[in-house]
Amino acid sequence: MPRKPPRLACFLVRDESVLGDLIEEYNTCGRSDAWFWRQAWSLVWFAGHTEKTERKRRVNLLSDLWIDLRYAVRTVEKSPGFAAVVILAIALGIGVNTAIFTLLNSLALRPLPVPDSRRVVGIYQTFQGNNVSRNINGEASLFSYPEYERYRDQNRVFSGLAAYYPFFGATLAGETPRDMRGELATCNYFAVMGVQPAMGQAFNASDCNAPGLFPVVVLSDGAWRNVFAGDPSMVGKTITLNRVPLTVIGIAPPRFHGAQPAAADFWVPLTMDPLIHAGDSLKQDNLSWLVLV
Amino acid sequence: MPARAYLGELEQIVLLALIRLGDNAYGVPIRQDIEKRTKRSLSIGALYRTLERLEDKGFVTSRTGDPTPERGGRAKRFFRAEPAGLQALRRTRDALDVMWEGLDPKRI
Repeated sequence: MPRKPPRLACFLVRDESVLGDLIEEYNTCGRSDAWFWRQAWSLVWFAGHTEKTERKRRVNLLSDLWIDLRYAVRTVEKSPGFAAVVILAIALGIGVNTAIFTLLNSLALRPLPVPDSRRVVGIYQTFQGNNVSRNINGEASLFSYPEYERYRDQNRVFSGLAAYYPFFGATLAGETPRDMRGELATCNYFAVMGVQPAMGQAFNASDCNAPGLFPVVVLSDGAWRNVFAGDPSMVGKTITLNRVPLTVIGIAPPRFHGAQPAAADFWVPLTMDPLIHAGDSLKQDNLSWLVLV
Repeated sequence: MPARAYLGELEQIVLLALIRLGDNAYGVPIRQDIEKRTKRSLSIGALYRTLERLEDKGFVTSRTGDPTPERGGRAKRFFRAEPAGLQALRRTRDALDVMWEGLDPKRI
């Protein structure tokens, strides 16, 4: 009847044929449990010894790295001009990469800062044929206001369709006039985006029935904090953009800055365009200038 | 190609045991043969470390035999000295002989 060797000691032996050797000698030569343990530990010891040699090799790699670093410093000291050019090239490379990633991140990777952003989509249109000629403000895939109205009125696909002009630069009147970048948006813009203002209220669709009749503005959180010093009584005050007095009716929530990569400072109803933008863009059927969501 | 021209002491002892044991060279008899002849204990860890080193150098090959009941159903691993190992053994012996020439082991 073969004896059973110490089970825990058996766990120390990884190789099955080596364990077989130990069990055979343990049984045929009447070796003690202590002998079995000693042999098992000798296997662990020699395996550890091999690992230590490996570690020593890795330490050598580290010391090699230190030697390389010192050599690099000496080379830089010897020819600083060449080193400066190399460092500049590397810095430029890193900078360009960072800029490209930042752009990619804001355009493609980062979701829109709106609730349930998967439900918000951009709308594009494509023209067939060669006789398409438009007053392009951006590109052909942008929409004119009459086009937007027709799409909006016949929409049976989306829960809402909003339009905005994303590249609206305006001058804020004050002791020191200031350039701001905002958006002209249809009055259902905030409802379609699903965004509730942090303070005050947003536009309502019914507020924009007639051009020029609703002189209001919603400020972004960034503009409210940076330009108006986070004035807690800002809602209800009047600011002047492009010489048009507008009543601040709301402050957007902190994370929301529009659907474009560049953050918007404010949103003004699109129907204020004839006054604030000084043109008749709303009537032009042949002017591409609006983004649809 | 061997990593070293000459063998270490335990490498020589293990290779000589393999030659002596022939087809029956596996862990248990190798260790027992070495302990009996050299009158010194050799742990199984040291033995297998040496065998693996010799195998890495191409001086030794191993094959797995059939499992047996007295080993708890585990197979034996048989080792064999290869021509490169025998050559290294002779080279080491020759080097030692040359160094011993003219010296009396009893008078040093």
